[in-house]
Amino acid sequence: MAEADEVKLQADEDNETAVGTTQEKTFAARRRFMLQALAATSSVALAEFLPPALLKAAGPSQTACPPVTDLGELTRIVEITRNGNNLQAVLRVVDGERTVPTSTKTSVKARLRYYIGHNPGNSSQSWPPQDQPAPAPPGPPRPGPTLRCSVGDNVQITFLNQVNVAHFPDSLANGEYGKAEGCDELRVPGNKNYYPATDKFPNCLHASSAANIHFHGTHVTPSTTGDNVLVNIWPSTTVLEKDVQQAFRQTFEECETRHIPQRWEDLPLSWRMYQERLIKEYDSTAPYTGPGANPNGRGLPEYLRLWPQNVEAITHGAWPPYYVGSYPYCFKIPRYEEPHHPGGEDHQGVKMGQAPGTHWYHSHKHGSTAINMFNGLSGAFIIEDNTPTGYDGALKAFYEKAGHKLDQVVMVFQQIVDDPNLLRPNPQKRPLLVNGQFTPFVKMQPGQVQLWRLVNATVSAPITIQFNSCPTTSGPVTPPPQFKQTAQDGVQYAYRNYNKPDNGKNPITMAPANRVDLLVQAPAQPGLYAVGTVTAPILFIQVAGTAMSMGFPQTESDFPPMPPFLNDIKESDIHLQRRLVYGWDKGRTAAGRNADGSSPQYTIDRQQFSDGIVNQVMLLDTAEEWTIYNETGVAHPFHIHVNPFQIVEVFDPNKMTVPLRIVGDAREKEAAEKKYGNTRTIIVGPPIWWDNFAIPIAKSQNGAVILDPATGYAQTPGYFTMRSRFVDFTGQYVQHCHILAHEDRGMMQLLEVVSNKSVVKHH
Amino acid sequence: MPTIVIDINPIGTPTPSQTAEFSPSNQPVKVGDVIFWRNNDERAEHQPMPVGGAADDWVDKIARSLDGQPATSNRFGFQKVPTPPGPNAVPYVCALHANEKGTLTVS
Repeated sequence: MAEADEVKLQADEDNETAVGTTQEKTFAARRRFMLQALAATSSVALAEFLPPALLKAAGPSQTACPPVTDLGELTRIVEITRNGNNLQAVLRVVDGERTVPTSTKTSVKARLRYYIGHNPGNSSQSWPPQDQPAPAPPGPPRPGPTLRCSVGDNVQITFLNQVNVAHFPDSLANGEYGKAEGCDELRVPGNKNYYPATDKFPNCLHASSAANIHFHGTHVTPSTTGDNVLVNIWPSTTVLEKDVQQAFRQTFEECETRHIPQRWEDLPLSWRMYQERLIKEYDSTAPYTGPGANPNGRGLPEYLRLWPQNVEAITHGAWPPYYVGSYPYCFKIPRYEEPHHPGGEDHQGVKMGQAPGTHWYHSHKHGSTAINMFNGLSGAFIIEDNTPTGYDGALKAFYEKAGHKLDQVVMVFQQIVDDPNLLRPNPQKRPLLVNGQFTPFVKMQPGQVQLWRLVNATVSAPITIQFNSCPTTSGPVTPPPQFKQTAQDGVQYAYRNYNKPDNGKNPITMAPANRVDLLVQAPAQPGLYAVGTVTAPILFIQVAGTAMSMGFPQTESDFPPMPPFLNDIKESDIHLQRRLVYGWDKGRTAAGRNADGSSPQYTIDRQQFSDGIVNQVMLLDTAEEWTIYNETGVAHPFHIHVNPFQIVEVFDPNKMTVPLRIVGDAREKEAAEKKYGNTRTIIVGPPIWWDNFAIPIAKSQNGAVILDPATGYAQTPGYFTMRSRFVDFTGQYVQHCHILAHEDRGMMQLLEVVSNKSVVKHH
Repeated sequence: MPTIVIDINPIGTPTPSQTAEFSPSNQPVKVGDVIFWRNNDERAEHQPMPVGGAADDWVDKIARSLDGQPATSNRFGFQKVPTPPGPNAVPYVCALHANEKGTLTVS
């Protein structure tokens, strides 16, 4: 391929599939249409109607599967599991040289930030494993340790950011070299502003060595020490676990026995003083050579200092935004208890429990999410329910009844590079890695069923999961592995969706941040099988050994029941309807840099994220219906924190003539058909729960969005409609595009759930 | 993928026009590389710039090292430029110290 074409294919940071050959697109579109025509006549799960992913090549083209001797066996990521009712972990962000695979035979060195961690209550749970020789050679990159606990547990994480800033240029916001704006910069000969170009602080890439954690998929408080993505933890190589151990032990105990911290003063005094000292030290020694600089070029001017901003917050009783080196994450994962008196006012528990499933954690500091994720700062977070009717309890029991154990395989998909393409003079190829490996293989016995928990932890790569047999020189093609999807985004399927005839018949597309759970069955015929296509595989399955007689759950009693708190949200429950528009700059028809080198400016409701400005306010204990439109040619994955959502309608103007509506049962279908006539295709679901969904793109032709000449924006946007309950937790959190470079650059909104109670009473 | 680091190391006997030196003084770079300079000199700020160019063509002024903590420059990258094939020497100098010189050899 000529170099110019290569550059064009990779040039856009934003979407791996924005451009592709016309031939590929036509083929994909035709296949999509046929699938849809088939699907419309049978009830089918929603997955097929996701915007198609042009399959990302995971390696060089090949016509046959490689010999298994060329491949490595999939690494099982070390797990940190619960100690009694507590999930305790020390999670550290460090940096070092890693060897990143680029094919089965080649690799490159890169300096990356990555997680290491251990269970302070169980020294055998350590990542990397403690028996590795020290100093460790530059090993391959890996996701962080898998966290595994149960609903109802207390999560207590000592988070340490120990990145050595000297190893990363341009990697803290304001102070590093005197720029008030604070965006990362790239200059090239002839262009002093290659990046940030038209990006404006804070909606630009910046502060890549600062970090925090988002517990994606958890239904917990977004405030203080919960799933709080509005805190920024600056790095320090001098803050060690022992320096904070005692203070955090106190915090964790109070979290568990009383309540989580509400105000700064609730944290131990010793740690608060330690933080004040560290932050002031940073403020007075950070490099700064701008106007009014000190003679030694060190020390931030007042308006860039971090400590005064904390003081401002503390004075107003708010939670301070800046920390150095350490942070105590502690929160309880709610377990739903049935009220003693249904509907009674004495129900003290949560209205919605935590959905047990495949969730995950990753860095989420605004401005550095893309870079951190490209470095590999992500890991799986499995929350279990092992009661007899829980997701895990029921599935395990089904297999144990027949004398089998259900082996679980956790796979975290990542694209690992040291810097995103926006910060490079030339674009980089980014192979897809599974647990840090290039096309590894999973061992299965013939007939064996495994539970695969898959996490798309890439910044911007959609992944299509399908199973194919490897071609042989002679003989018939053997049947490939079979599968059944059991959960989406960490929320189990209802049995009716699991049992649909199309479950397991079509490829599954995972947008960045989606998770899927699959029961996968190895075929009877030993050999090598491809996950992905044979020409562009993602990983392989090696089938060998003694045959096993396992199967898939067949009846409703075999399958976990839907938790009561995930009952369908009915139209009559809806308190408010909203519409949101994911868009880009006026007049734009395709992603990619303009002639002047500037990148697209992505917006929500025609604006970009603004610190301290709340975009949507919801009332606690209400359910709403949101329709999210997409005016662009990029299938932005919409993600909202804290509460999952059910999808009730989808419209892809490039694939459908009318929108698809999903209803709960036959009676609702009848009512909907009366109401909508032939303006909708109605299918019976029930609607599936997601927390992250790729919004179908606007109507396009030859890769260009068709604009309305009167407005300069898309003539026919794509959209989906979802319903969600805003329950249990007030506070501020976010919704955003999960193509993380877009989020960093402003495609995000600040939301707030406010109490629906007033102190005013009538007498 | 790896970025290139050029150190700015203090010299024994400083003069007004030189307090440090670029190490390596001749650094091979390829199109697509990302370079940054690391200032290990506690005495002065430095700013590498192309000979005949403007002070901030490549990077902003780099702060002094403090207590053993060097300061680093912002990124500078070589995009594909239409140069004839073969080595291409690009001389540079510190904008603040006329005797601090180095070369990038672009291939």
